[in-house]
Amino acid sequence: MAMESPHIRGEMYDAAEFEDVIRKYKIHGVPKIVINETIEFLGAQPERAFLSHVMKAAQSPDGQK
Amino acid sequence: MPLLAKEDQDFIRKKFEQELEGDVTLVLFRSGGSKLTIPGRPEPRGADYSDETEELLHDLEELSPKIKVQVYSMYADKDMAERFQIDRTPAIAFLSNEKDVGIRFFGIPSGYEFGALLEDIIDVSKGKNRLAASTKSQLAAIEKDIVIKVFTTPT
Repeated sequence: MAMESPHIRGEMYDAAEFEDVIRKYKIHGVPKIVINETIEFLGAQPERAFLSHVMKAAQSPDGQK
Repeated sequence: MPLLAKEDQDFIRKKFEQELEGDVTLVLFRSGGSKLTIPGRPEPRGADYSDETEELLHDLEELSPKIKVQVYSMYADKDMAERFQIDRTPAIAFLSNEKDVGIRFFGIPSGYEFGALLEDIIDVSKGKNRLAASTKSQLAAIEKDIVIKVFTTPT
């Protein structure tokens, strides 16, 4: 998705290496996905479902970057 | 000694030969180079996986002339780290034609993430991915900055 838009950044984390990340994002299972610090979900999603999360973040007015 | 076993190297070399098109630059930000380093004393090793990640990327660089690796210290090369918004090590960013593609890997890409790294290298090199056309057109219309964080563990 990052490839398709200059506005999208995709970040992969090896959570096991970063304790602060596990605490901050309350990671109890993987893969966990967090979009713009506001939308989060657990587990791999079909493309359409994933896209709808991204579009929701894109349309929400309060977004941080 | 390379981190990748001989048969893995052969498999990846072949895959790269078949699939890579354009050059891909992997930019590594690693630990070390901190101002806190005491002169004359070696840096503490093993504080993170920067050494292993650097070795892994150089292994990949050996497997295809289309893969280039640049190595920076997050601490010593602050301007670069800020430009790529890197706040932890090891971190990998992808460049295609010197342009930031917007992909980051934080931590050593092992297990599932190593597969994802290879897939991303190939996608970036080809300049295309497997998303549906309808997905791409919706993404292209986005005007707000979006950061998607994916947390995994090596399994």
